[in-house]
Amino acid sequence: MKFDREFNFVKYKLSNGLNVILYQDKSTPLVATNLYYNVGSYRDPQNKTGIAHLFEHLMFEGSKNVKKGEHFKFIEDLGGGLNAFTSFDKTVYYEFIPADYLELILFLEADRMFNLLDGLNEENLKNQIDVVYNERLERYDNTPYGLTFENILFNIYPKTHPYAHPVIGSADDIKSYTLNDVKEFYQKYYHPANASLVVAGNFDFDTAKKLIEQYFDKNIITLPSEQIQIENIEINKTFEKRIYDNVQFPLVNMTFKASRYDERDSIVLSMFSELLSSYNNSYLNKKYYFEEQSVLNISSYNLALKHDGIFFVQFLPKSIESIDKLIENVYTDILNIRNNLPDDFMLQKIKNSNFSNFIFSLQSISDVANQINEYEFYYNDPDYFKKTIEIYNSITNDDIVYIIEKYFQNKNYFILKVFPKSEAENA
Amino acid sequence: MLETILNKQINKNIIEFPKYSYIQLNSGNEIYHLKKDKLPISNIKISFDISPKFEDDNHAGIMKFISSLLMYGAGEYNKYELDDQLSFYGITISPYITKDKFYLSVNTLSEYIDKAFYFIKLILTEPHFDINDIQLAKENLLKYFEHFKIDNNILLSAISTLVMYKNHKSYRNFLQGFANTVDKFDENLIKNYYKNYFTNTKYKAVITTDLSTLEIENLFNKYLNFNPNIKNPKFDFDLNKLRNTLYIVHKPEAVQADILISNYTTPYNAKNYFAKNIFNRILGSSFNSRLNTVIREKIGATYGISSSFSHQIDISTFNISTSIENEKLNLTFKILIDEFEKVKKNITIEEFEKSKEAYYYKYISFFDKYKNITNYYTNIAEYNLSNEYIANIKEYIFNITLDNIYEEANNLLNENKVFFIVGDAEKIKKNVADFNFDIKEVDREKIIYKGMVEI
Repeated sequence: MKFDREFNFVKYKLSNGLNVILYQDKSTPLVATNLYYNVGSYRDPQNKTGIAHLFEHLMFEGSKNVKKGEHFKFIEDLGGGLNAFTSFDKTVYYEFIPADYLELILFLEADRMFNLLDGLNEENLKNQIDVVYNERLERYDNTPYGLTFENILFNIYPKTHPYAHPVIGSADDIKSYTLNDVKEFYQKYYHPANASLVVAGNFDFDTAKKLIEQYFDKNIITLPSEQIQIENIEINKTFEKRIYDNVQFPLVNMTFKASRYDERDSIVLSMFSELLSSYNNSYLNKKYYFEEQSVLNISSYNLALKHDGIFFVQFLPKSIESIDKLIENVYTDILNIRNNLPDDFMLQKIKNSNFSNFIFSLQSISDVANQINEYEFYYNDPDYFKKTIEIYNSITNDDIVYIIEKYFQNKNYFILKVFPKSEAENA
Repeated sequence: MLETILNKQINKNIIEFPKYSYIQLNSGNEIYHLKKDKLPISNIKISFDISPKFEDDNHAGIMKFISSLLMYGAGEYNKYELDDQLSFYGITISPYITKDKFYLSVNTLSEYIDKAFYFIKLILTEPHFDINDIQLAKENLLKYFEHFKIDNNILLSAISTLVMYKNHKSYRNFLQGFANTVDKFDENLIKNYYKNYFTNTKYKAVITTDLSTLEIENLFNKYLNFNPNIKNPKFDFDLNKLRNTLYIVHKPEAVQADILISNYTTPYNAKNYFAKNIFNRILGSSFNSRLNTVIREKIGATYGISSSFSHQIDISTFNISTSIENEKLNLTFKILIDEFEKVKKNITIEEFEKSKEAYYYKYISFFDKYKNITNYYTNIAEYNLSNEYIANIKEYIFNITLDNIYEEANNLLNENKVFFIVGDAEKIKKNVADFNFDIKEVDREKIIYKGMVEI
């Protein structure tokens, strides 16, 4: 399997610090923008958790030259699409539109980057607080197992740690945001020097550069952001917590400390996760789902962040009585992989599968724009496509042994057990 | 400045609808080929005339159950080896079933397309149906039924299926069946259903690829040259017309009410397809649609509200869905009912014209992804729509009048629409007391386990 296409990027900075990456693809009648702000929930102040995520909503509520609702309307009326997402590390705004309208997207993005506060008022803020509160109800509080992830964070990080709360924030904090909170947060983090803009698709380089200069090359009053010291947290023992929720079956999550996004280890850990649970023949899936038939489902996931990483193994045991034994066995099996390493075919299978997925991911210009910015954000290199594949292809069993010994060997992990509420009486 | 940018004229001819090449194989099966050269990949969707229409009521769910077992070993490969082989070549094959069809959705690098076809043939013609896998899948599915009764989306889907499709023999059962029907599945039953229906059925395939029509025709002739001999049953049915009815599925301690409003609509290939979609854009299919603007952006009662169509061959439905916090349920109902009336008689010319254009321009991004093209043309194939139809889409859309839109509004929001809510029954009843609904409270255990509902 090989892919020799070159990605030709133009990358530069404006005088105000805005990072710009242009990627031309004339095979589509569209242009897409992808704007990364270097602010995620790790920047949420204490007692104001979720405020970074609130901006994902407020940024569509109007700015100096754009009334509430107009941003959606202008883009959708032209057949375009738009949305945003927030993670622990970043907030991302993305749009696409017929290529002739590049100027419109740039105008809209610039207006909210420089002039959001002119469109912000108590009414809009109150409205979006209600919307986010409902988002929390829908996706977390009113969903089976919806509280699992935040309970892991609460337990593995100290209360004041920037990664100790979910991106959406707590219900109480969501209800507490004021206009002053919002203004202060905006002035600290929403400015050109804290952002990276990708323009991808069917455009002319000179025109795009001129438009970007016209709309983005200006200054804005900012507040200094606090330097956050992100303490490197270790899990240095086995410990557990139980919660009781509106669920029918228990769920068990084992959380291990893992590697940061920009380290080679994180790619090896992603591959290790696939070895554990992505295929019928994966170690844990084969043994516990198919052979022992002791779980309804078993999965693993490597969550790589800018300043930390965590690795999960999660399963739905078929009987409550077997839970502790299962945890012990799963852990032992992970260690034993050192003595039962995957053969060449197994490793090559995962490499090939990832290579195919990489090619499939290049279909949509919006997806490509986002991937470019993600590589830029984590590696300071928009052209990390090939390097990712090279790293994947270079992984050997020595790497697998190395990461098992580095991240799993010392029996240091957190166990979250989610039980049906009916079990609380038996506790 | 903004006005100048917005006044720029968009080129209406910018949208190029792909044209398909049609091949009818000697077996009678049909291929729709779409050429796209951007990447060395192929996306295939094969639709077979296999569905719950062949199920006995006592065996509801068996077709979906069989389709889920197909990947558990075929030909010379057991379930581990088959999965390994597919992954080794970077091929994904996903079987799934709907009320009308059984689909295989396939993604592959074009250099491995011959392998992909080989595996498709193997999966379809030589599945193992190992007794242990059958037993495991059955036990797990029965266990999952316990989870279904707390999953709001599944409860809404189950109750609306039972009510809206009550009088249609094939559609009225939940796709995965019910606990009391799944309980009856065994090896013989599975093998009989498979033998009778999965091996003799007509298919239509759509493929978006960088390969030529001839290469594709050769692959289908080489690997999938089945001779169909099963005739599709046709059903007589009546629509289950209910007036002002609200079904409540009680879920204790729910902090939101999950709502689905459903009504019957015309099929995918009906003349009013574009008119009703433009109406839907005005009402609820986009961020700046009326319902989202009011229920989310004005009163903040929800994270989102949207409307869409679900097209089946015999019965299609129009659906509005949302999740509302309990405290704003009464206000939301007042506003919803008010909005339904307003949109039947109060659409501005500008709103109408903009929606028409927006609906048309949406096609510009439709054909970026291979999978989107394949999915779109699968509908075209299933409803026997021609290249001429595709060439005329622009004309169909821009010929629609405001009166056409009002007609759709009045049909889709008429008194036959049915409300379904999953949530805390006491709170819901208190909040909807003003609206004179004929309220029917439904037992979720009975829906999930036995497929029973008092109509």
